[in-house]
Amino acid sequence: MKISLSETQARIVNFGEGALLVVAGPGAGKTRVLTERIRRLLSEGEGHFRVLALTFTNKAANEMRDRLIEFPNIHERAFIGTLHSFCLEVLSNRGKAVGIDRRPNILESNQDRKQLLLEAVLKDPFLFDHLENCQDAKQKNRKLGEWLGAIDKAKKNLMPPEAIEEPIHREVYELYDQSLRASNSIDFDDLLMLTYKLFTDRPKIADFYRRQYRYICVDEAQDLNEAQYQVIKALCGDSYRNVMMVGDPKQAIFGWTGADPKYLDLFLQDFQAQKIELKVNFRSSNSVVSTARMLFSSFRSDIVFPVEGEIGLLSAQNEKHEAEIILETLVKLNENGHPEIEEKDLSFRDFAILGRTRYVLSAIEKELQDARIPFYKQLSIQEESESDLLKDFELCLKLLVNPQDRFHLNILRNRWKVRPDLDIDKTTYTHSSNLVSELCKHSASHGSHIWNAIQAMRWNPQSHNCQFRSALDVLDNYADSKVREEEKALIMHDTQLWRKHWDVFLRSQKGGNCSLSSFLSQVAMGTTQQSKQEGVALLTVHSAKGLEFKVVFIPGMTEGTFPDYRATTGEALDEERRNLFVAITRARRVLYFSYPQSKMMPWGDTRSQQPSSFLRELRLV
Amino acid sequence: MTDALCTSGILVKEVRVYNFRSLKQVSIELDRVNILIGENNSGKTSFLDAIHTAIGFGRRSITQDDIFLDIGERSTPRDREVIIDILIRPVDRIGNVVDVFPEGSFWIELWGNGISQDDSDDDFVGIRTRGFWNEERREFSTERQFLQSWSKDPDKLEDSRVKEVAGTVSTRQLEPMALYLMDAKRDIQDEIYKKGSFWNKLVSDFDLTDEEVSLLEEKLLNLNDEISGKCQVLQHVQGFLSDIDKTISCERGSIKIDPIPRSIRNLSKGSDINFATLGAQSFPLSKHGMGTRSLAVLLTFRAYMTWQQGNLSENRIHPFLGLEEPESHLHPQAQRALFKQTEEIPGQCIVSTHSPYIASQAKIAQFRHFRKEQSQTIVTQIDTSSLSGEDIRKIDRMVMNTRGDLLYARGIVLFEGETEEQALPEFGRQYFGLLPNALGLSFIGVGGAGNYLPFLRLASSFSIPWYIFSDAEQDPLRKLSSALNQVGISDYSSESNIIVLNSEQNFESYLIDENYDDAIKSMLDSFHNMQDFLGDYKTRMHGQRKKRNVIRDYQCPNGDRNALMDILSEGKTQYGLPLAQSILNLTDQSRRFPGKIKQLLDKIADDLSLSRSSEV
Repeated sequence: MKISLSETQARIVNFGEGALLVVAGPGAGKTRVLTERIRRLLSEGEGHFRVLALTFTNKAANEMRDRLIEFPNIHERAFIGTLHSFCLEVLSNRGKAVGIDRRPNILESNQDRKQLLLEAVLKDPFLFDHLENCQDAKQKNRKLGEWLGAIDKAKKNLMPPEAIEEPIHREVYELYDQSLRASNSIDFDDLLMLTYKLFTDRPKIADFYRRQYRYICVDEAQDLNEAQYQVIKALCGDSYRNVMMVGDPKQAIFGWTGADPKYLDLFLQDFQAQKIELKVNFRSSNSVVSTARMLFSSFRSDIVFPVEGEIGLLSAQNEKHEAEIILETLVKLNENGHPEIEEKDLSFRDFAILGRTRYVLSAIEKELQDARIPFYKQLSIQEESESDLLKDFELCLKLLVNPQDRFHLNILRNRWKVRPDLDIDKTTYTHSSNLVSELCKHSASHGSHIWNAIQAMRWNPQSHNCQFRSALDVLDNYADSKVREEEKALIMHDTQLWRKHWDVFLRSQKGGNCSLSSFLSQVAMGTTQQSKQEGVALLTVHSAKGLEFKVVFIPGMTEGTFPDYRATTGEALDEERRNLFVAITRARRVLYFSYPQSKMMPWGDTRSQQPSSFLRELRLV
Repeated sequence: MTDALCTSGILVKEVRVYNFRSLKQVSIELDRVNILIGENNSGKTSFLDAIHTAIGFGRRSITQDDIFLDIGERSTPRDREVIIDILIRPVDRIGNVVDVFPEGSFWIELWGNGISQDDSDDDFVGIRTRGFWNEERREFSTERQFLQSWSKDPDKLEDSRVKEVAGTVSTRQLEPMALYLMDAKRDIQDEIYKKGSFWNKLVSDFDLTDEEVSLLEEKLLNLNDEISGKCQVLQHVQGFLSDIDKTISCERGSIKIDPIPRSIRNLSKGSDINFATLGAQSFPLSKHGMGTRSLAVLLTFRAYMTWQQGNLSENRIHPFLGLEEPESHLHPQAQRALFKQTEEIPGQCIVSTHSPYIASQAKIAQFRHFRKEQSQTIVTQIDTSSLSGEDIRKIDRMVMNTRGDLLYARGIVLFEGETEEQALPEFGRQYFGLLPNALGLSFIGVGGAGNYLPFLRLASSFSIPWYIFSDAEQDPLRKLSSALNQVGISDYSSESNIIVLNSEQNFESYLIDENYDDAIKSMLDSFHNMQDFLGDYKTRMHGQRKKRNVIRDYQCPNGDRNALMDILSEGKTQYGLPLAQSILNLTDQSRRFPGKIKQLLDKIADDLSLSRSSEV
């Protein structure tokens, strides 16, 4: 299917040297313009170069890659991925100058990070006291959370520990970083901070990447935060200007991560960029566009969509009732179709239910389950192994590729109750498999089976040919021998998940490079997640970013939920408005809001609810 | 170097080989033109094969037979791996290393993340080829990966680490710089018939337009019909072959023999080169001698590379030639010409040679000298870092251009003068019972004590054992000391390979002082066919002036000695050989080798384990 580009789209696609800011509203064909421009640059540009295409999510990267798959040698001609995965590649390749030796381990889960922080501060007598003074476990946990938050904030602003004024936070930050490095690990924010440091300290390294990538394209630029923007600036240096940013300030909804649409304006100034606006919407029906315009009068489409669509409001007595009527509407539409939707046969994939928070969706989730309607939740959160066997297996894999990983070693020792007299720290293992084999021997539980699985993998440090599937086969066989059905099912479910990860990973690797360490880091980066899911999408607004559905439900439209009760300042309220804007513009044809008139509180009381002020603004109440 | 011969923008600057055949550990720096010298079996071919195995055109996998076997080992340990590391650097058009691959360079796109930066953040590409026993497949595996770091010290192999992010090196990433290896057995005949040879790469596509092709093919068809129509044999065969349709179902009359290929594409397979020497009839190259045929292969390579380069708007190819013994079957004059032609191929070449003619065409800095110590190959090159341009030119001019053979010597004996140049080899011949040349010993008169240095530099760089037989007059000794100083020898008297005559003696006075006047006198008599040449000379010349206006006095008590000295120094060039022969003919066997000469020859015999003739 080849649709010709609009005049403005063509201007962007044909834009040559220099910086360019594209402001593109929802449904403006942003992804298409991006991919077409990359295709044009690669096929028409003279000389030899690559293109760096940075997306906000792995899903967007996959989509862009899929669209360009036909282009010869696209893997070699373009890097398409998130800024984080680009940074990981830079650090794996050039990280020596900032203390990163070979591919670093990424500590992605917040729980792991908190655990690491806890262990680090317990070793420090002063901080230990500080934590002991907390009244209870809950307060202790909150304190840890506060510290971690301070570290994250500092890192997101590219501040090293020395730059922190508050003495305790500085101390905590230092200890946390030390423990990370002792395990040859980094966290997500380090990816950016260390790359920034590398590019600033060693300009010739940044220069290498400029020589390699003649053009840089940044998608969803309204969601850049300080660290991300500075990394891109450091990469570009003083004179490199071939950067195109595509974004929409109205869709900036990641303020809580430090993202700010102001970087679009900074980009205009810093890079003396040209600005082109894409004021069209090829996605949504007239009614959806006009509803969205009520939130932002500046949002308009230069073309009038020939379909009117429908906007509806469902009012329910309580949350259960709300879930019931949503489901009822959904099932009816799925069976009978809708006069404003061209296709008569709808499937569950055409529906999305978007909540401001995950909590809003719990009643609906239960209803969907009871009605046995297929659905999926969460695109961006890491799926974790649920069985102990696979959890332990994963820990062993981490130790295998990174024997310095004291952190996961300690977790494993604890899980397996490895005898304290087995002094692994003091023993030097020339080969990490010796370490893992030793641990497996001392495990009270299924260590020997895990060791069998690892052996079946035929792994060695240099190997690019890891037999990962064989390892999973061994684990499956072991599961088969289990008596308890539940346990068996849990393991099988996990191994299937890992098989999927492995398949996605293999497909993305060029040149038959299937080393275990790069597999594990891809899993940690989330690039191996399956993007296509079946059934109704049950998502938060944030994770629905970039997606589109024929029918969208936005439940929980009460004051305090949407807008969130914590949004008190003008700035925060603006972000709530943008949240709703994003939610609305996910809809292609039909959009339903709903709200419960009363809500059951966790402590059992019933509270009556006010319809969201946004509904008034949208003239729905 | 003529300019713009590195248009590809890259050079292979270093090759490190571990555990490959006779090469346990060898690290060689490369320039644009490199000449491998050294005795047979010293590892030159292994080295060329190693590069070819790593990045060669038509390379093959590493097998068990390629693994280094140490003395006393029957089989190779399973964990011994072959490693061949190749270092590539960006260069400018005349071959000087530059910091970075420029933006838009073909190589950046080709290698991408395979490119690394060293500690000064300068670009390089390291490619490791690893051959190892793969337990999983129960066979030898070969793997090629990019390197993240390149250890400064070849002994610290662990510091050169592969980079995982770049994955394995693909064929596409190697092909543009692949080494074309031409072994000593090359033959244009094979080239023409071998699939994938340069010849076939060149001529398989005549680069004609579709119209041209169809026009020519029509002519070919007509020619075929004409030949078939006139040729009864063909019709006969065709008739019999037509019976095929009785057994296989096919349309009747579809069998047709084409005496010449009908399609342009196939025409090249029958190509031949006709070559006529002046005034002779032209006949196919395949009927010429091996020299011409082997030369033709090289010229085809050159044609291929220049065609490639000429046809691409920019350089996407780094011609890299490995050439074994270009001298095979060639006349000395042709060898010289050939080397010049090889040198002029844009790109990089490694030539292994035993030819002094080729060596004399080359520059000292281009040599890589191979030798074997026990089972290990050692490679050395001249360290030019401490030498001035003039020093290097001196070596090229004084040594290389005239004494190219010296590079192949097993030992070098250096001395100042002409008498020694004639006399010493003769003593050597009697001592060893063989001509010193045949033993690989070179006796070289350097033409004055001031000229030792370039020879010493060369010999010590290439670890060729050297000996000096020096006069002991003050001036030459001072010059000798200064030369030795510059190669790191502060006191010659403690070096047993430096034989210095007794105080103030030169070669002639030494022999007289050692009482060889009888042998000298009888030599003079027989040389001039006279009864008493010395007596006659004394009477004739007494009182006359000689050089520096000194009046000859042959009537003093030292008259005989003075006269003999004057005779010998005036007739240096003619008396050297007969003098030696006369001494060697002395009836008293114990006097046949004067002490200092014996000392020299004994030392050489011991060092190089040479056997002495029965007369010694």
